[in-house]
Amino acid sequence: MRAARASTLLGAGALALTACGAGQTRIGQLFTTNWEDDGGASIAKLEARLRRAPVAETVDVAVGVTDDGIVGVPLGGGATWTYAHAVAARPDVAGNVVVGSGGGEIFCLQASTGTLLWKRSTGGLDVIGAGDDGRTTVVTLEGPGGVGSTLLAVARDGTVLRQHETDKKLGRPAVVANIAFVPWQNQYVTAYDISSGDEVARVTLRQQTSHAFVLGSTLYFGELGVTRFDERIGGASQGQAASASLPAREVVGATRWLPPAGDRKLKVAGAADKVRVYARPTPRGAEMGIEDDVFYSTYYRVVFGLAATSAQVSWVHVQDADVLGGAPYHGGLALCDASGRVTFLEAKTGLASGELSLGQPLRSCTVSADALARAASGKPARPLGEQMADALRVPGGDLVTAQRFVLRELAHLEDAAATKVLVDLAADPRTSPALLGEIRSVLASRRTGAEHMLAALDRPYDFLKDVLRPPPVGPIADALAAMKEKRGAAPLARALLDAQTSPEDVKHAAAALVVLATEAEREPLSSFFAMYRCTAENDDMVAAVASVAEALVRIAGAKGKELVARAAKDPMTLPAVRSRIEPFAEGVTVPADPPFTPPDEKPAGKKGKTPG
Amino acid sequence: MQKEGIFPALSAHVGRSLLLCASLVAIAPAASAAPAKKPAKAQASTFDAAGVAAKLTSRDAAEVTAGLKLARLAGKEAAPVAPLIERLLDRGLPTDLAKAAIETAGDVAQPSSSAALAHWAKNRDAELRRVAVLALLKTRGPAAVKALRGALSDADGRVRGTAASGLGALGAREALPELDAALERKVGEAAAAIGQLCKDDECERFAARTGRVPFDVMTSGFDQILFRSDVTDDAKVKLVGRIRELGTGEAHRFLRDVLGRWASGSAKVKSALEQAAAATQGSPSDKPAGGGS
Repeated sequence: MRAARASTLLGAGALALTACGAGQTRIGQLFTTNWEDDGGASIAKLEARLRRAPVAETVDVAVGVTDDGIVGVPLGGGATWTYAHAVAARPDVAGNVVVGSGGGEIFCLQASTGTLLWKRSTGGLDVIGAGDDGRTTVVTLEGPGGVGSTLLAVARDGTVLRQHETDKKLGRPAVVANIAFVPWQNQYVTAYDISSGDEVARVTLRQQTSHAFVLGSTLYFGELGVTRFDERIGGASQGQAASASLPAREVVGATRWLPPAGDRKLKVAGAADKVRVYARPTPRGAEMGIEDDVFYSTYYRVVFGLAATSAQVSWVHVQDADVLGGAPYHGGLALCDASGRVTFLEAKTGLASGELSLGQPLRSCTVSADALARAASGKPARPLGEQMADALRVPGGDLVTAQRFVLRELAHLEDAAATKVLVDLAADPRTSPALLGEIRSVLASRRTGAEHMLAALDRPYDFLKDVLRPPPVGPIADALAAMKEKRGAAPLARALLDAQTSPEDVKHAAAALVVLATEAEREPLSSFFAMYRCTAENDDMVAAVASVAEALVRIAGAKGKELVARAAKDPMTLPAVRSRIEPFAEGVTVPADPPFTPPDEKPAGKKGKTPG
Repeated sequence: MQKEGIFPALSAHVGRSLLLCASLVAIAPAASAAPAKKPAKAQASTFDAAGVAAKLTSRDAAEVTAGLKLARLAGKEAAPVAPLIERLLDRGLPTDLAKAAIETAGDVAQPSSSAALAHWAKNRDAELRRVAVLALLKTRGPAAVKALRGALSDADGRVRGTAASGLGALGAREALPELDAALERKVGEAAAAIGQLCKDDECERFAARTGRVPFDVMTSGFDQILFRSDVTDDAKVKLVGRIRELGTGEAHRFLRDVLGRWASGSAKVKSALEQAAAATQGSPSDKPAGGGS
């Protein structure tokens, strides 16, 4: 059935070959697992042969899918181009061409101009990926119903040089010197001689692999990590090849270097496109590293720059629209978003160093950056805490996962400015309720920035001043108590008596005052104790009253003990409160009130005067 | 007010009570627009201070309740037991009793009680705060004014409104900036309070809000200004002119209403009122009152 389909697909005579293989040895039947591992001999031999072969650069371009077709813009400068055509799968950029599919056709465009080079019928198969060496374009297509794949090698004039169908799942190919490197079954890369149609080498990789790609004149294979095609490739099956991986530390969402190649068949960018990682491999002598020592993680509109070794956040950038695609280049990251904008972010700072426009909203986008270079702006980055605050202030529930990640990172920043960010967020009515609990939790764990916490306590609820959200008293109380910050006693005592302080926060403020209160807080603490020992409306308030009793006993000595003991013996005191304050009253004798003696003076009303 | 101990000694309360009472008489504005309370009848007191005191010092809630009722009935006659009510408030009570004690302290109307009431004006229970603010209007004194100024920032609209009215009634001119802010924040009661407290230029600034603040809110302040004896005729005439400029039916109705109550006021102002009422006759929406804004 597939064979019949292929005939229809490509037409009679499409299998005409160009030249014979150049002395390559066929190692077995193409894309079969019935293959005996040659210990890397064939791939090592091929690598040696291709070591000095010219490798075509890939054009730096952003290509977006619109409602009407495809739009592209060269990243290094040049006019925006469009190509009107039905699009069923997002296009791929390979060498200097763009390959796309839709409307039952596959088409190949000049990447820098959008000029049509060739197109052919595919019978409805969609592009998985493409590779190109400047002469021949190799395209992998997903088989009918998502089963199996088709490999197609097409010359610049549109002549089909090779067509091969397989029941295996092929990945995104690359082409070097007329050899197509085709990943398949997530672990093999077959070297396919386009001239002979033979599999001339194969490498088994130890990491999940569905991409072959060329960057900086070097061939790589990758998905979870990246393996370089170099003199060590023969040792790949024993894990001896030069390879690089991202840090194991969990960041936001996906942690694989590249998304599975099969995801490309989706016309409209999905969550896997918006939540992904970008990293560019670079040589480090015989080993491999990550370009600029930075990798990038996108989560819808939020972009993180992360240290390549530790995965610590270096910077945070918030884009105006969801990021659909991107590509790292030396010194930065080019991002393409749903609004049709391409933004260049500097690797070290995350500062936007420029942008281009594709002119219209996009459904998906592919960015290719190979030799792209942009001058650094030299501008200093804003403090990381402020960058994180920007990300935390973005409304909308779809960013909560990223925002939680930001919060965790913020908690690791020791500078006082980070505390201010947390204080401001906790007191900001616009802060997402989904984040508030974690913001408060992180704030409570801070041990720097007491000044900012004290300043926040000086901004209580005030209807007249339009301060309608009380400060985060509870977390601040916890932090100030842990820091033994005595200056917090007075404002916390005020907050205790503020009707707008939540019972939970009152509880924490009271607990902090057990540690921080001084004689100066005796009056407000006494007032609080009096008002709530009989009226505490919930467990938090009961706990608060008990803490205040403890504080009073500590700061007011005998008088404090007498006050608490009197309350402990008073039947009007709530039982829940009484049971918690009784330990403080043990052994304390409560003196009787002095007998009532009516004053000699007549009451004011009798003197014929009324106030006012 | 700074207390001398956790539970101030009773004698100290009594002394402070008398001292504050005397000072309040000295500072209370003569022209306060607060509705005059009927003075206590000059007759021999029948108030059983000792009996009520015994109830107020009981540990039995029912007894305390009974004592508070008796004190409340006696009003200012119960002044001798005011320190005991203050002590109850200082030591704390269940909500119902606290409310009764606050109301009683208000009815006994001793300035010494203001400090104890001020704490309850910050209670978490909005109803207790409102009752405390009302009581403070009666006990008066600097502590009352301070507490009421604070209550203008309360989260509860009723508390804010009561506090605004109270500041006007207490003649608390020092609260004018807060009352201005309150009016900006749609605390309607602040308009009448400003009308009670403003001087000529301040009244003019208040009147300048006409058009930005609903007219029926503004009229509560205009009414106060027009019927005050300590505002100059010129200021009143200017105010009438501003109302006349509105040229609306509700302005006309207000002017006619004021004229109807203008018994022995200034002839100059009356003339201005008459001319303004005539000029606004037949204005748009000149319907019978009730249309509102």
